[in-house]
Amino acid sequence: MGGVPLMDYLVVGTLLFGLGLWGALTRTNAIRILMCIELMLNAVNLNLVALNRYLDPGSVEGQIFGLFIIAIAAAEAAIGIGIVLMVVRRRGEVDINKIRLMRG
Amino acid sequence: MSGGAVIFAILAAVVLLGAWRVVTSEQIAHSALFLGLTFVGMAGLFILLQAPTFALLHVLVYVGAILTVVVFAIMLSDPEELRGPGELPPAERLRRRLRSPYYGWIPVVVAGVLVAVVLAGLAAAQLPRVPLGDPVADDLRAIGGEMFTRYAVPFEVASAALLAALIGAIGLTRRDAAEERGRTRGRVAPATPDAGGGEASPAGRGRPAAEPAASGAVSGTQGGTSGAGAAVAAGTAREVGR
Repeated sequence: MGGVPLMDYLVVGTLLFGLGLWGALTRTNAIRILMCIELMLNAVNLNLVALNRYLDPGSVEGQIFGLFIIAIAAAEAAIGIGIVLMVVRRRGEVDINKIRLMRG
Repeated sequence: MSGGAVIFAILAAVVLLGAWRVVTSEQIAHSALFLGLTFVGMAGLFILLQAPTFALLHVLVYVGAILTVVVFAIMLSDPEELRGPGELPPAERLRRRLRSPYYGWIPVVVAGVLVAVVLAGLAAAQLPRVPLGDPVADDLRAIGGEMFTRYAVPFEVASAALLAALIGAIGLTRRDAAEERGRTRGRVAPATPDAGGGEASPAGRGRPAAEPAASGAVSGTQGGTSGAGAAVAAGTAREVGR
């Protein structure tokens, strides 16, 4: 463990989440937005495991929550990419700003 | 600086640079590869946190499953995205990387403010420098035991969610396959208008608005029976379908 404070992990997690959020807000390619969402979920997992290790090392609660997040991320990726592929086949378009079927 | 701190610094740099390149790469295939780099770096961080089972499952699911699906999606989607924007002046390229094409600098400000607020909160917090005890000796056994006793209900809910996602993904792509079949039938149908009317109804299940229009157009051109007119009708039907 060599003297890495908990703070460092949380800072990395925050920066990773910030990068993911920024990417999800600025990119227009649907697949890239899904990738950025995975980055944000990864940041949350890092926080959970780090807090588990430092604050309650005798348990594995944080890791279990992280595993549930991984499961939901897998489901989200499958559905999200299925929808993207369907839209691409129907309209030949992955740019979310050009898909305005549900726009009022 | 101890060995652990050096390893942490390297892994953190890998993770953050990978994430940065996921967002800013011009070619989306590069984004996917950098996403894989980020995932592997995250697994290293988990090992450093003495959670090897979690690291293993992380690599298994993220690199083995999610990244593979993302790469498939990139291959099957628009090939124009693979090329990237081409030659631009460096300043314009940086600006284009940073800001959103539709909302300008607002997303950058939102993400920056969020990160700044959280970092300020972390700076004010009293956090331990070292773990408050030793880690669980056999973390695979501990995770398995907790997962199937105390967290059995959430586990089942998660498995139900995964099953639903699986069925949903298959359903999404299957319906699309039926549409593709309907579309090719619609194209073939105008050559034999009588058969076309019969064929249109099963195809109409996929696209309720477009296919009845196609069959109507086909019967309208029955008198003319010009191949070109039928082709135009099929073309307009396809346009409506879009």
